[in-house]
Amino acid sequence: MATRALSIIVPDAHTPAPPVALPAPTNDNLASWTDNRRAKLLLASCAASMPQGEWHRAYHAYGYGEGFRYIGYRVDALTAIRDEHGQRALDLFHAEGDPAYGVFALHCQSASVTDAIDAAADAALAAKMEG
Amino acid sequence: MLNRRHIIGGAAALPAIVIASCGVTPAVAATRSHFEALRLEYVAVQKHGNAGWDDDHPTFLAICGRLGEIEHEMIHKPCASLADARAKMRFMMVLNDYGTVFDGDDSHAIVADMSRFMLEDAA
Repeated sequence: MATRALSIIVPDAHTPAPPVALPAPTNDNLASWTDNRRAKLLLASCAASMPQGEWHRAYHAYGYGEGFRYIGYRVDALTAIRDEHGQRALDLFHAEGDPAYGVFALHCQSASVTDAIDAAADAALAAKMEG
Repeated sequence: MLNRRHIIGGAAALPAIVIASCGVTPAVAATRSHFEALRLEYVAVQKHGNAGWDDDHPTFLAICGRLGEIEHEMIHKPCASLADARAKMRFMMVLNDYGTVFDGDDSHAIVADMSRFMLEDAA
């Protein structure tokens, strides 16, 4: 569950003390890959000037057809950040065992790169219309 | 119906697939490869997709999109180590469990990419 991810965040004034002793935090940005500083900058850049997209083959069990994805160096960079985030979440699971699986499970439910770009664009548009 | 990602509607009603490999333990942790993380994510996302979503539910569309992204990365991002090749091979085994088959070009691409490292290791 999502509450598991919070257990590895470095405690601060806004984070209540955990009820049990926790291992030393491995890092401070596993909450979501979109919280990564460079990801935020890249998503803001994509929202300001949307990357190009392409249709590619999709093979999964829910539909054999085409899937849409954005392309370009910013998308490649976001993909690398997302992949690294997932790798670190998996490393944490391997190091800590079952209690840390929630972190990886949370990562698996986080936004894809395509959806994160769309969300950033929607947020930028909403802010523009309100401002 | 076709949605934004051209996913053919109706497929969401497929029977749930039991995924035994979700219960991975640290004891069977793979050698470090981000393809292994992608493979495990694919399994977890697929399991999430079996929860009986409506075809046009935003979460289900996001699930479909993410599965497609992982497949694309597996096909087009080359291996950099034997651990990567082994992770990709395990991914192909997962696809086989699901009854998923890549088209000719994509299938050849991923097999050739894996084989380079697997054959070098065997030599």
